[in-house]
Amino acid sequence: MTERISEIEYLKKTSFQKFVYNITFFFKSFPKRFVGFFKRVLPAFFLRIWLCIKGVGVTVGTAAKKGDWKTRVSFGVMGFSQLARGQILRGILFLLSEIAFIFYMVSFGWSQLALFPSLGYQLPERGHYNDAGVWVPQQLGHNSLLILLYSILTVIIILFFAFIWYENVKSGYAAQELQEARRKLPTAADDAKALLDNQYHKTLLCIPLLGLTVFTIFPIIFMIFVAFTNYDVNHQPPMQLFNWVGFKNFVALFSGNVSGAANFSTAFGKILLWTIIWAFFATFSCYIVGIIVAILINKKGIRFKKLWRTILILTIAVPQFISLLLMSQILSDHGIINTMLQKWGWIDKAIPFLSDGNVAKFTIVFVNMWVGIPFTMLMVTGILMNIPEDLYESARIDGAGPVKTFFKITLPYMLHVTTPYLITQFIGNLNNFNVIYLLTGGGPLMSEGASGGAGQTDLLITWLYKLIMDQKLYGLASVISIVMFIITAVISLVVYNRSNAVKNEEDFM
Amino acid sequence: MKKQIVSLLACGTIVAGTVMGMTACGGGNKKMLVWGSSAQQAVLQEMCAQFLEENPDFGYEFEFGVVGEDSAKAQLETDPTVGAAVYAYANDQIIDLYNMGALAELPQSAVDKIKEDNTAESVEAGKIGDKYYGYPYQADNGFFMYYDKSFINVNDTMTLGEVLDACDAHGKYFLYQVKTGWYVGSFMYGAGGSYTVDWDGAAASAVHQNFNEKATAVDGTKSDYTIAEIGGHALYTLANHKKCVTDGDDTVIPTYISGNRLGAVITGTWNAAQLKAYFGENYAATRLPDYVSELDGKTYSWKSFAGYKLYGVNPNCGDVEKAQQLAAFLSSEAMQEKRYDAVEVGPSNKKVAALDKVKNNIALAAINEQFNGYSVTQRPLPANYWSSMESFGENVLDWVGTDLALETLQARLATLISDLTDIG
Amino acid sequence: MAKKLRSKKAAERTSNIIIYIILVVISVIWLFPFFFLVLQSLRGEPGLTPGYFFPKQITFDNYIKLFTDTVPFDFPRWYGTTLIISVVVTVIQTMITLVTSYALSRLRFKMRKPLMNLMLVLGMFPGFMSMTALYFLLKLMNLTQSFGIIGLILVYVGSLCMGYYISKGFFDTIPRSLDEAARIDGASRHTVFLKIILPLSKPIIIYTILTSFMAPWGEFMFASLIFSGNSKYFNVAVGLKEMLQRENVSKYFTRFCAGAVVVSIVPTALFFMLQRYYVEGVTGGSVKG
Repeated sequence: MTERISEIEYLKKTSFQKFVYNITFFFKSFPKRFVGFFKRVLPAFFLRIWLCIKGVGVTVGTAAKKGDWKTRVSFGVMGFSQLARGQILRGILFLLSEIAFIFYMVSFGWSQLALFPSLGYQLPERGHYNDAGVWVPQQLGHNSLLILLYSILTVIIILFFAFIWYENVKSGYAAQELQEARRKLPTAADDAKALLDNQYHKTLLCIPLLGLTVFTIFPIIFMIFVAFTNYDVNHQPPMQLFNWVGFKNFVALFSGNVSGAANFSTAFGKILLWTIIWAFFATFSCYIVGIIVAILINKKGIRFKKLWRTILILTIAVPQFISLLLMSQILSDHGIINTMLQKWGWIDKAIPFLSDGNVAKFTIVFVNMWVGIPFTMLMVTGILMNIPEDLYESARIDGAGPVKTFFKITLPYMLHVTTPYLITQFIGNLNNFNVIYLLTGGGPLMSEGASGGAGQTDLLITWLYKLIMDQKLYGLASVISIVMFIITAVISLVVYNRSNAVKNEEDFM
Repeated sequence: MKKQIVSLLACGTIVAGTVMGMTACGGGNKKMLVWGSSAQQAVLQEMCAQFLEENPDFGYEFEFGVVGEDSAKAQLETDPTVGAAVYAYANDQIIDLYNMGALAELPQSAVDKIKEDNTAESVEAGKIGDKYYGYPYQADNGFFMYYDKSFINVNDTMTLGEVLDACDAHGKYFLYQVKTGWYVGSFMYGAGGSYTVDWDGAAASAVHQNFNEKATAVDGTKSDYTIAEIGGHALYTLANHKKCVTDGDDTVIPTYISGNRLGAVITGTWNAAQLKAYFGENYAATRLPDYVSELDGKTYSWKSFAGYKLYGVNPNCGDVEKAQQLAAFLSSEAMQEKRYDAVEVGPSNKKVAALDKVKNNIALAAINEQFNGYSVTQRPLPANYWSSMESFGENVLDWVGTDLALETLQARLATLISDLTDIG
Repeated sequence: MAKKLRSKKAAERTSNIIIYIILVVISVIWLFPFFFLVLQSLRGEPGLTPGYFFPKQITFDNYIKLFTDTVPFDFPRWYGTTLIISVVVTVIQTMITLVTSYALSRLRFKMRKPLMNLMLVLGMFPGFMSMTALYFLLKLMNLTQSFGIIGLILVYVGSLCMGYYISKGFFDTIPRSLDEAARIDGASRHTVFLKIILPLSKPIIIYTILTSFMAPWGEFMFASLIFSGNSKYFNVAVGLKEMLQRENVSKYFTRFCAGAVVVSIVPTALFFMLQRYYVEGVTGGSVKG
């Protein structure tokens, strides 16, 4: 059923049937894509990396074999080949980067890297008063955290330098070849020009990529390494050292054998389940109601369209931490809503909007709708106009009412077009820290007791926060985030790369 | 053109920002950061100004941070090598702070001085091994009862049940925090419970608790029920009373004040000012009343935690000696009196505590009464303690409005005790 | 025939009335919290929730105190700090986002697809897990505490890898024939970007400016770490959150509300002024995105 039907059959269908067919095909092919990801995409990825490494080897090998003495000297003294052949600026830049690298390694990098295997051994010495009553200052010893951090930084710098070295060899040999072919070498001006034209992506992306590496990739690598250490409350720098423990944290997570939290596995299971349920409802409630609101506002004959939209947009304009903190005050047991209802005699006891686990779950979803619907409403408005009118026409001829048209045409069409958006929302909701943290803080606590501070409305991400901040289980928290990360990453990669928005990208080429 | 303007603006702002940052840091004296709670921030800044006046050659300028005594630990957690040179902390955080290397020991001269000036308990609160790590300045970190003396006539025989009934008769409410870890265990401690932890570095190495032993009543007789059962059931009885507001924390008190619905409240000295204003001439406070258990009909006392607040010196700061000097000054007799005048907190200094104005302070007299025989000193406890107690309180709230079978309570208490003793 | 038309019109009218009712109800729900916020900020009586909706005493005291009573909460300074951070972040982030998304939308190079996948995946790592690492990295560069503003700006603009998505979608909708015509005339890619694409991108530029301007106003986690509890350097989010701490909330709740109103005014005003572009940007970008 996931095979496409033939062209002729497809053309025979009416526009409505074509539409239905496309949509069903799109959703039915999901499982296949998933398998395909592991069968084809992943191996292709590794193959690509291998080819890349091989390519590097071949280039360097050729340069070493066929290069003249100038090229060969530039293996050690970077930029020599270029300098000797008159590409002064290039040569100087390569040379400078080598000097900077050596300086970094000697002054800082090497000392950190040398401690990487042990993560440090020298314990700090507490500051104290000696017998004469004189203060002996505190001596900080090795700090495992910093050693790990700076070692990773150093490795990244080494890799980056290796890349520059490779470029140096490549460009040095290329210069030699050009010279041998008696062709003009590109001057600095040529280089600059290329950077604004054919090589423009390098110019544009160098700063964003630098930021990405330093501020995103680097901390992630760090956290991955932390998962293999015993960094926890008993091994906290700067006064204590931590050490490598292999896969112990992974074993602890899956066996549920976590010290101080007997119910760890139960808590983990419950939170995982609620996280998924939450992400589902949070995503689709906002999505569907958002579409309905957009339809209502855009209906012909409804006036003050701009006013309605403006009112809704207020929640986007006000910083989320304010509106959510405010909401948590309004909805608390002694908040304005409960007080007023009690005053009017409508209720006897306060409604535990946020203080009872089960009620709080509903409340959170509703508050999230309050936050999320305006986004969907805005986004959907444009797309609604794009739905082909003839779909509605043929539905009307069939005598379908507004509800039926919504479920038969509008919703499937929207789903089809906005799948990537939905996936982003879904993943975003899996990791929706703000709404939970600011509304309930994950509370109320699970009533079965010790479970790493897990609350009934905690998502994995807010629980992780507690595990780190209150329980200091850094290693274990890293493991959980790695597991989560892998799951969400695979799902989104699969869906994105095969969803039609990515395919359609090429339509504009 | 437009783009050039934009980039010009960008550069301008970055430069401006950098310059601002530079000027904030460079120039003038060296800085010393001091932390204090928001309530005491104003008086802290005054005291530091006075300190500079008295020590013109001190050589540092002060900077201030609003970090409460209870959040010093959290703020230092990531990087104890920065942060305040002198900061206020609650004594139950001392182990964690010590383990972070964020507390410098006191010089012998200072130890002698604080021992001479302050109550023994408050000085001991800053002790680890045979060394001292804090200058005590406040001895009132506990809870007791404020009440309306127009209809609640507290004397030694008035019990919690009678207080509740009096509230009921006058249509007023009784505020308590059933699920806040700090308050959950108070009935158990009152029934003779104790819970202490041995520390081996940052890790709890052993737990000593007696919650499974038989409870002891006020008259010294033993009950047929355990401490946990008596205490747990008393918590349920209180929570189940129709006039008990079970989440009566600081944020809820004003709500009941504004509706003129407050009869009595269990809280600490930090709420004294607003409660005094509310009760007016009927303002009164006393130690926690005794309670009669519904299980065996015996009377038990009700105990608060007794905690202290101290100034600590961060040994990672540039100049430990100078910081010690400031901390000693901030906890001195004169400053404790000044602090009392500003915010009416309970001094740990014996002479200040003996001043008439302090003695006549109703709230401080009550906390004094509470601390003398009706409290357990709040020692460092593992994070597990707080979450387990809170979780139990959560469960007690679930039972409100239902008939609680003893078996249900016993089963839940068994979990609680195993959670409390599970230290990994 | 005429009758049928009339009945159809009547049905139309009733359905419109129902829709109006729904819209009014929705508006009330959406406006209620903000209305409440403004009312509370004008309340003269202290305390968290007084037990009635309309303040007995309307006053601007909270606003005045917010700006004059700077011990312990120095709001004017925090406001200034946040404004600086916000403006700088907006400028840098807008440039970086546009440049990145243009490159990924228009230029073809070997690592394009892997790079897009990488950026997509990286956004899913829980942000606070990297806080410790970033903190010590900034400390190494001496960009914490008094230089924390710069550190904070770096962190905010450094972690924008997800931001490119909507603007890339927008660039995808600009016909490629435009660039090709210019390339045939001999324009370099740089010229194409500056002279052809950017002038057409007003909605997405404004969209990016708006979103990046608003982000720093609400960030409190990293900010509270980087300033080591030195209140002087706080941004408004950390500061306002401090006012809601258990020990402060009773005294400072109304002032928090005043602060919240003040903080919301600038972003909201910007938002309403530029709403049209925001809508164009978000619809243009996400349909393709």
